[in-house]
Amino acid sequence: MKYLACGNIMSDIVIDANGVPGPLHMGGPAFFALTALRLWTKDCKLVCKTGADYDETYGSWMDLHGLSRESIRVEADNCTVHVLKYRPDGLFDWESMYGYEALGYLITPPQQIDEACEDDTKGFYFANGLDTVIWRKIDEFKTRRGVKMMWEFGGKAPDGTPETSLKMMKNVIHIADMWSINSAEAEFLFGIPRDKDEDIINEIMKLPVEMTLYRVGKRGAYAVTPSTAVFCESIDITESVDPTGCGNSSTGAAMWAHLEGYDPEMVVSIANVTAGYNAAQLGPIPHITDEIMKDAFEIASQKALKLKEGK
Amino acid sequence: MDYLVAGNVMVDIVRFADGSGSDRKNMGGPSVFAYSGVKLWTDSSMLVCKVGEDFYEYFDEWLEKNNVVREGIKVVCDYCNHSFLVYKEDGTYMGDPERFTKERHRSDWIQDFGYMKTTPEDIGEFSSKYNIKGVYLAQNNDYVWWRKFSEIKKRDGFKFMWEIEAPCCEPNQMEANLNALKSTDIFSINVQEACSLFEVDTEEECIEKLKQLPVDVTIFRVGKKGLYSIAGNEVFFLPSAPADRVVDPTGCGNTSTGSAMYAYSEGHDPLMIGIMANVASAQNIRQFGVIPDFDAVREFAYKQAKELYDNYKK
Repeated sequence: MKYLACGNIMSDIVIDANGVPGPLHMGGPAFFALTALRLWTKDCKLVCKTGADYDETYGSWMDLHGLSRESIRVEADNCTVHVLKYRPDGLFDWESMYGYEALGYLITPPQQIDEACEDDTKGFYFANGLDTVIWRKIDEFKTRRGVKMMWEFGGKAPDGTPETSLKMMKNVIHIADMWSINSAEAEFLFGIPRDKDEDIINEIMKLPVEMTLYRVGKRGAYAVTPSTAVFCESIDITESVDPTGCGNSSTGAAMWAHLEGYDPEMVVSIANVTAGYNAAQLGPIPHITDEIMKDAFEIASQKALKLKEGK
Repeated sequence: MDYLVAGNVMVDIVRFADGSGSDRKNMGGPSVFAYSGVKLWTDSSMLVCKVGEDFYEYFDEWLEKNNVVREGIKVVCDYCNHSFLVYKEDGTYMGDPERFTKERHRSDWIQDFGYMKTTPEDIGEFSSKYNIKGVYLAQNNDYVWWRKFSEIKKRDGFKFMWEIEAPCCEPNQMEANLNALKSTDIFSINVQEACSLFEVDTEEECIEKLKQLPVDVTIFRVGKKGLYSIAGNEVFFLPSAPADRVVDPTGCGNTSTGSAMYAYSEGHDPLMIGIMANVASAQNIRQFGVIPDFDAVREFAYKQAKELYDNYKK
């Protein structure tokens, strides 16, 4: 497969800002990234460890979309379930239903990604922290296999400080090829208020990656390269229902777009169209038909054209 | 290679209920303590564990001094789990929540604990390579884990000691525990865990329940008092073996459990299994962390076990 979505899959129960819980939904960084890849290409697969009960929740969606399960390893009884509690500011807190130890047991190790890569694999998405041993192992197989990595930033340094986190990020980011970060994370990491897009982008542009998707919440996202930054406002496909997974899905889509050779305008448009489709319902896009794939591409192309015209 | 001792490694700081404690970080974790309980008797044993890169900072000197086989130690992340154990008056302990929030988010710590947990394949890698007699692991009762493990156990034919993990000791976990016990030859549980699991209040009630479990031997640990070695209707109460000094009980349960696994796999009777478990525990309690030098105490341990056995037989 050309594109891999690697990492945790986690079912979500969303509790809204009024405290009202919703039903169980498929989710997790790698799964949302997978749904995003599938919106643009059929040449993709999921790479994860999960629980035996994942089939009940994810199986029919996977089958509906003709997705391979060859790199899904069932290692425990239960798929991770997170309870997401949204705050009025749109951010959320979360708890793990089966406990953090079970979550840790199901974290995707670099070796599993290595084993999932094939001769035609171009890139993989991975939401990952700052652990240097894990990065060293990623570097080793990436170099050997010649694949590219989209790193969705996650986690903090063990001491929890921005200073150490920034230092650790700078020590490993050269291993990734593409990066994705949201405004809250960037504010923490760079110590710059999240509404100062320009200042944050200035810091991002100094980093040794080909492209960064800088996500600014409801406002939209930037595709940032060492020489340019293109802003695209959020794109509503229909009414926005649930933002869960929009960051993961836009990141997965941005990876695909960048590795397919699209310019930053198209990359950020594809990322935002994906987020628009993702937000249109609770959980993932229910059925990605060929028609929807075609529509999505058309919408993104038109948006990218407008961005170019607006320059 | 005869024995595999698998599971998590920790780096511990201990604080007792009276405020005293260790002034430095010590080697610990179920697998390391259990390993010491096996290594006390034989050098033909190896640790199978996933660790942080700082493992060697704390363990290297000990590994070197005791010629510990390093083949089964895999570095998978930056840090071992560092735990801050606070003892309560009743001798039980818990992680220090203040230290967690100061030094690390508890959720991150526990996630790392999960990331470093031993998989059945980790054991199978070495049980297929060597003619292994016995394996120790402190483990939960996850059905998938046990299904994979039982296949490896059937393939490689070793004996298995399961030290049950505390979260599996809720009454509603019994069915899953019985499933795990199908692949267990010798079992270890402490009194708090047994009371919770069986919803009873006394050691006697626990023993009645433990006698019914489908294993050859159960080591029922009752704290500083000692342990019961239970084999069907045979029940031996064995008071703690005497130690020349008492410093830190951390890991005594794991150490005695590892030792019992060795004794059982070597074909000793339930009385000797319990005695060897207690002798190992008496060595563990003499210092913070694990037994520092096995060669220095092995002869004494064998002698003490024989003397205790002879005394009990009288």
